Amino acid sequence: MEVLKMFNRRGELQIALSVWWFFILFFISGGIVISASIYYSTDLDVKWLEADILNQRILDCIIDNSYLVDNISDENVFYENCGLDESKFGKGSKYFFKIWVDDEIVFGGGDYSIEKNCEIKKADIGTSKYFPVCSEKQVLVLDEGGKSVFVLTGSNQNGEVVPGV
Amino acid sequence: MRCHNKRLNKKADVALINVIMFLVLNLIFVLALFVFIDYVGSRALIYEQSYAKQIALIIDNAKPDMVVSLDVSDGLEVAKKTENDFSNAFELKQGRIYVDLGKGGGYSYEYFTNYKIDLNLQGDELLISIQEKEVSDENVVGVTNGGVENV
Repeated sequence: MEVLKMFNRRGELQIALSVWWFFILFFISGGIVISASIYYSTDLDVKWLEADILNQRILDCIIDNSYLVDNISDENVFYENCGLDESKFGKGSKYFFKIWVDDEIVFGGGDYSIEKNCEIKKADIGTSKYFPVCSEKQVLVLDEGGKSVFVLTGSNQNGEVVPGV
Repeated sequence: MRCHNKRLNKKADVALINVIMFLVLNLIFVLALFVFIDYVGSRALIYEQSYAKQIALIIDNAKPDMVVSLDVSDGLEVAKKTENDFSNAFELKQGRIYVDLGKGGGYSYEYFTNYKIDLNLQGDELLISIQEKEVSDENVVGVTNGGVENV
């Protein structure tokens, strides 16, 4: 009878131990799985770099030796001179740009809703990582005693995971 | 006495089965964890994303007649676990760069430049050459001594 009692106690102890053991194991492995998943699903956000590159590129092509080049507002000449793919700045574009000369809009392209979203982002009102990122640059040119050129660009590209075959 | 022994044997059997079950379950748990970590670790998704974005930014920032060399050895090392043929690892299609370092679909990123881009994987280095797009006949104004004048 004494022996049976001891066995029962041992059995209970074993069950309790194994339940706790699996409980701990479950939490440790859960932690590993969650942290690995977070690490490998990290999204590298380069929208700010893209917007900045586009901005610099536009400035480089519309300004030559501190003077504005001719025909900035001519669509064909602009895209050709700047080496930009015109099809990427059409409807549903992931990019946006606008050029002001002395506070007057001279040319723009891409998705204009990006501009509004950037204003929201700038005001920091509940934005998410899916919001576009913009870049602003202002330079002075020597045309007609000095003019101010302001370029605003934005990118809202997130990249795509291509599904496997 | 015999009855008592039988009971003891039964209890011992149950205890042994418990121990075996416990060990087997532990083993399955640990194995599943290792398989998961190995599977996640062997996926080159993070490299694919990083290279796709890097290459797209290089292309966007480059000027014609530039050749940029990008070290992709880290990504290829991971990819070698599942793939040996890297001829289609880096591809350009319709203004997008596609990077596929494994048996998955890979990652793609768009670039906005309209230059002529060539990708050439040499060993562990990816050579990205950027050239002015070939001039179409409509834009050609005059040909002088074999050269082309473009407006």
